[in-house]
Amino acid sequence: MKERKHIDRLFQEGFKDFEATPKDAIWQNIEAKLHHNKKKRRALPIWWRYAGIAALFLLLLTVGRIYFINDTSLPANQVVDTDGTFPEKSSITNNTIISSNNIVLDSIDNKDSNNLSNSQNSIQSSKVSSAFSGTNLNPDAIKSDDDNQILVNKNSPFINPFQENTIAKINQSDSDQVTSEMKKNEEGTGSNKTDNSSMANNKNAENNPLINSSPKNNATIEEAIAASKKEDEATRLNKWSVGTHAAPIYFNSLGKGSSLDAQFNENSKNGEVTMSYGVSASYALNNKLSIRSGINKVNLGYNTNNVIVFESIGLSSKSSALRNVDTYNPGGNISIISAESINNINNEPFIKTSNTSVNQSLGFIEIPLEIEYALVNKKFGFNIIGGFSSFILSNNELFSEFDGNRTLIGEATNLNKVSYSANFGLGLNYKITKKLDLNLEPLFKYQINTFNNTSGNFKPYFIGVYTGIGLKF
Amino acid sequence: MFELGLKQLIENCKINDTQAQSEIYKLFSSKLFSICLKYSRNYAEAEDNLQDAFLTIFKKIEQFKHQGSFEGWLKRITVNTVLQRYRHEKVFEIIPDDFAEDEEIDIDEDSVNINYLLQIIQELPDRYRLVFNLYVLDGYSHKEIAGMLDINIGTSKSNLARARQILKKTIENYKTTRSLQSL
Repeated sequence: MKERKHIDRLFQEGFKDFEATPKDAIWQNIEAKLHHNKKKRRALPIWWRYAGIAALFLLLLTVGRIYFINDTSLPANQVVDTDGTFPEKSSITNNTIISSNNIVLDSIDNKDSNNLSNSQNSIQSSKVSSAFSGTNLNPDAIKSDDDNQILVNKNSPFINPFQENTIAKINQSDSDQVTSEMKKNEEGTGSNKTDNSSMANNKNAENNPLINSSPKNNATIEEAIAASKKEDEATRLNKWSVGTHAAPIYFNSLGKGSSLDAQFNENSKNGEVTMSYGVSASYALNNKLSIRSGINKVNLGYNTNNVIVFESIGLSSKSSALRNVDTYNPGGNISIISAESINNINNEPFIKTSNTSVNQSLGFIEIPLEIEYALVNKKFGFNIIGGFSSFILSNNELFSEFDGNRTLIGEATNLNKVSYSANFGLGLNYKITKKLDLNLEPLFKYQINTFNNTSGNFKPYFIGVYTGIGLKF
Repeated sequence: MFELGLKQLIENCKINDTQAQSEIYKLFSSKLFSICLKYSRNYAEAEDNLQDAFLTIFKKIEQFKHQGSFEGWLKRITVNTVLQRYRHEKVFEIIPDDFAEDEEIDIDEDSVNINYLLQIIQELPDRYRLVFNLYVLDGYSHKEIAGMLDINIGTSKSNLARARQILKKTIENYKTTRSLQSL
């Protein structure tokens, strides 16, 4: 008969010296994770911070360019489009170094020496100038030749325009073709070229600057591809979010004073409720902190009440001209004076009934840069928001308003083209789905440097209640 | 000599020395893996748990101040890692708290393969497995277990009794089958 024993003892004895060696792969996993974490934690956020700054900088440049450079006349057509896959117009090339234009040059089979000379010239001139404006190809001449041996030169966007090899990124497969083509044509055309040193270089494939440039340019292309891959990776992290928003804006001043003229310091003033709308993009640095930027259109309206506006013909306007206002009226001079100041002098009763006001209507393009700190981050989120905005003046008008009739009378002269604001506010959001947020953000923006010559204690600000939706990806 | 070496290894781990981490792993992985095997549902999950336990160990090794046994500290972290994974798995079975815990659960002494014992432990429902391991194999009291698993003492006792019953039944069935086969 076997001895009976408690089941606990059976297990205790069984497992007393129980040891099991795990597979080697386990340690490799652990080691990889220990080191992967270290690298990931440090490298990725830094890379992203730089990318964020770069993106913001690009955004500012783009907006600035669109805004400040009104001259959009197209330069001479520099591009000969051979297969329709490249853009026909290269208007941006003249103005920006960072350009995504592809310049396509056709090198012609050298039966016709004029054509060759054209393309050679174009290559040389492109080398020297960053603007490519000297490149005057004769498109007809080139297109008319049916036996074109096509050499495609792509201008990589990352190449320094002052480098010798600016013009060309030749596909490796093309370069051989070029060389053989050049050699073939050497006899027929060499004598015709008097001052084309680059043609002479073509005799020797190794000296050919076009060909030599290939590996270098390939490297930059690889970098570009790597960069875009990194970007792809980032979008998968679900840290980016884009959104649109609109807000009623209330504009006013903290202190007494006037932006127009000292005589209005004591007049009653009131802000108008106007609109702001725009788009924004934000990037979450971690689950608490995110950084965001965007573009908003902001309209501000501000009334100075109790003024008298009159048109004086033949009078010198100097005495009544306002310090910061430039009136325009073809017929005569418009004068605006404060009814209150007249009141003090004359004490005329009828003036008290004056209900004309001067309405200042301003428009800005706003580029905010703000940090959001999440206090609550659940289905309902609650954030504190702080940051600053840059404003670019886009609209500057002055109206006189009497019984609801508005007449354009001029513009303010003391508005800075670029101004700033310090922003502070609260953000409430409701997550409809994991990807979609509803936002409500009351923000206070204290304006800095909007006016450069104000009277009294004029401290403009505006309050907006921004509502919108955001999409995370 | 060994203790001195161990102390140095621990200190080196604190400054993220890969070599030291590897040495610590070599010294203790077998012991800790046996814990993981007993407490986990199967071999693959035991491997996962061992990996998580070591990651926690190297993350928290800074907090080890050389008071008390290092091995004990490692075992506690390992057990905690496993508990974290399984403790919220509910046992959907209502068992009265006054379950007869002193019921005789004896079994014929016989050579039962350790691998078989391991297998039937792993097959227990999560909570039964954890309680049985903690009480029978690692010597924790019902009070301690109740705290660790966030259950009350009565539940811990009844879970243990239920685990014992299941194990006994399984082993007896196994033996019957075996003896029938040998006929």
